[in-house]
Amino acid sequence: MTQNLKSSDISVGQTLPERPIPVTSSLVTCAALATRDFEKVHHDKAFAQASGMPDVYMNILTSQGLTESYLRDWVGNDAVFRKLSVRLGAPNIPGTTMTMSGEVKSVDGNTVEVEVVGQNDKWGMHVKALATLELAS
Amino acid sequence: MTTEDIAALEAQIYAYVGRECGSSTAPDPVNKPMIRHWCEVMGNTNPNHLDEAAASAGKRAELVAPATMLFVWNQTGYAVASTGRPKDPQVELIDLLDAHGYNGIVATDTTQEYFRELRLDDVISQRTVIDNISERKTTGLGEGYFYETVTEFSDQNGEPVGRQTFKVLKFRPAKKDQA
Repeated sequence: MTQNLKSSDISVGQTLPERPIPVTSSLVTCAALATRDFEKVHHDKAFAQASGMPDVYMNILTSQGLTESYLRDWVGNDAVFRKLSVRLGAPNIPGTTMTMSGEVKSVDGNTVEVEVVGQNDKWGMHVKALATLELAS
Repeated sequence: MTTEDIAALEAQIYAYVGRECGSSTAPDPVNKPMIRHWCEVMGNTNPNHLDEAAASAGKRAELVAPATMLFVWNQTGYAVASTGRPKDPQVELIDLLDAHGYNGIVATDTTQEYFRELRLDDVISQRTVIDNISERKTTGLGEGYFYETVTEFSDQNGEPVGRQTFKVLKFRPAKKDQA
């Protein structure tokens, strides 16, 4: 089980271990459905191509969910998410890899802000997020 | 578009500020199967989301949903693919901008705030309004307008549980081949 981080374990500028995530058709489509997002651009390649994209692409709720899972594995099971701000960039298209990285931006008592970047190896920055987490005391 | 055309269009689109779109109550309460299906794909193994006995014995003393599932509970479902989104003011706004050549669309920013964690059997309602529309902007993708929706989430007792802002750029795609 992941250990729950305490504020004394965390300092500004601390980085999280990187996590490469292969972006596959299966991930894009199955995650879209798990988030109940039935927009055709996430499961119908021909439709996505007609809209000018090379293939189906990841939906935003999945980018948020992968960010949550990435942070959860670092911070431990008991911390509570208070806020997640997401800036969206390049699409996540099958056949690429998104590498997630993170850096602690602030620590105030049990409240920690962490910036997470999901960098797509072909298309550039997919997502840049700032999460506010409340540590288990 | 002439200056007069733009003024006429802007008068139409700014009338959408404050309009409500997409108010609903979730068809299913917060439940273990939907949480598990989501966790499988997202690689989330937190027992506080997946194992009711472990969660009950833990710090929370109950199972909770992952935070970023906030918007999942009220999704429209398969109708989006089979018959299209039902018309609402946001869809009308998009159609209006499409009809004037601003047919590009990209989401740019979204923020979710979580006032409390959602627990099993919570029934989530949400209400979305078009909160603001920018002046006409020149962007890397082309000229266009940013509009932002605000969604407020509440539980079965009417208590607020979360809030989301969502910003979209509707743009007239720049003609790169003529640059």
